[in-house]
Amino acid sequence: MDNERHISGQYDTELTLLNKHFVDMAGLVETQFLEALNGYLESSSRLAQQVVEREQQVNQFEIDIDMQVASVIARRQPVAGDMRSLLALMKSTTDLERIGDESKRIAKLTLKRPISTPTPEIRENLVKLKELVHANVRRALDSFARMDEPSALEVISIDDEVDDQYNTILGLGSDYISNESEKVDVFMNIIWVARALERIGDHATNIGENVVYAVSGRYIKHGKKI
Amino acid sequence: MNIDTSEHINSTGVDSDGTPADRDSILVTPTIAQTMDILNPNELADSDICINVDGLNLSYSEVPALQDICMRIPTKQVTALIGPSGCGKSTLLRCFNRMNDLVDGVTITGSIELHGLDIHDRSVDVAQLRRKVGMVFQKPNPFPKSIYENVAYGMRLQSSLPRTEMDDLVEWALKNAALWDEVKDRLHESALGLSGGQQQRLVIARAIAIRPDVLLLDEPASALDPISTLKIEELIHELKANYTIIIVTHNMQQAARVSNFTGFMYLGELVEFKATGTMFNNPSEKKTEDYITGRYG
Repeated sequence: MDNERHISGQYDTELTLLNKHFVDMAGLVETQFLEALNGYLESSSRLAQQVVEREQQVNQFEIDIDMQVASVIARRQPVAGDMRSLLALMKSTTDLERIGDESKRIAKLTLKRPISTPTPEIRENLVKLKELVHANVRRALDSFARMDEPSALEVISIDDEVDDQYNTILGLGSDYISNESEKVDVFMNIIWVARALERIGDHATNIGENVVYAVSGRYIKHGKKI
Repeated sequence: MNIDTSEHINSTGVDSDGTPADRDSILVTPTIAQTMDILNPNELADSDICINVDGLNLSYSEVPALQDICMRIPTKQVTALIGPSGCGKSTLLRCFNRMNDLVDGVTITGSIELHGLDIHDRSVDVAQLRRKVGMVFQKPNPFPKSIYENVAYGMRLQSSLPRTEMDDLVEWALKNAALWDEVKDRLHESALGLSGGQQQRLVIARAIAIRPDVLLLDEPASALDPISTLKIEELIHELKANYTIIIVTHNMQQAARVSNFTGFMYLGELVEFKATGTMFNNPSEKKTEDYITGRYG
């Protein structure tokens, strides 16, 4: 939100608290993401179990933030930058919750079956996708915390790299399946994880778009030109 | 969005079938853009402009109160003027029917055109101008006469209508001011027995009885309770089908609710003037943003 203070100090306190909750939720979701991926790559059911158990905390954050935003809207009737920031915060909270969902999906795959990756090359590409997505989620959350529009625009442009990397894994997978058709389940496992990562990348993009809206009022979703 | 089937007092925006309520507006074919009021007043054709203010300066005994105001006020739309106390919004409003002429030591330069006619031209009869540009004030000011006589008063000054025609006129004005049902059985009782909200609607009925083009409303609801306020706001929405309405208000939510266009004034200047939806979503000027979000300016 804007650094300049409102005449009503209580309003500022409410907004500051709301932003703090968002940052706390973002920190939790980032942990979920990393532990889900590391759990998968290291076949650690301990990490995976932790992710599944913490999911409830993520959901609770979403409920709390939604309720707080509703309360601020009801009592303060925010307009202009205040209103855009609140809408962006509420929508980004939904994206954070979805990132949490995708992380849990990965953790459940880890718990469900013994992990084996089809080939070292596919594994390597999966790690690369994870790093790309992690860096972009990070960038999105930083751009939100600082309301930094250039950085948010960077998040959106980097999503193409995420999509390319996802498609690389799909390509490698289909080569692998044509050669080793009896190992379809091993391949499917990888695809579910890659798919979850690609979706997480999309949520980072959404957060970037929300930041642009909050900062300048420009609506750039769904191919609307920047 | 059918959340609740009961109607709001203020139904501004869309009809029950989802089409924009002001579809008869002269502007454009109704679109989402129009419903959301995202038109820029500068993009309107000259024929859609009711009042054109150009380079208007006003000072009271050489103290400047308005500085270089330029604005195009659209016909049959609601234009709101907002800004802190002393910013000049009421002064500007009073320029439109030359109420400032009554103030000693006032100097006005620049031009104000009503449908292309310079209102300061020598040929303009000020009484005639004020018939075309009616005004309603913050505090309801009914005459100490009957409800009927309050509405009939203005027309009696202009011409003597036969009794039945005058009855029709009074009924028409009271119906248009959304007051008829509440007073039709006591038209000849004193207007001073009405509630504040009813008195304000009576004053609006009195103003429209002489069929003006423009209605100037100076804080018309600030002395009223919330329900009466919403009734006045709904009335404003209905009246804009036939009148150009300019409203000065301290209540920003009210400006956001009732107006199609909003001007923000500060220290005698018009800082920003644009479609209300844009103004309250994404104002261009920092001063506007600071004011409407309640920050230190």
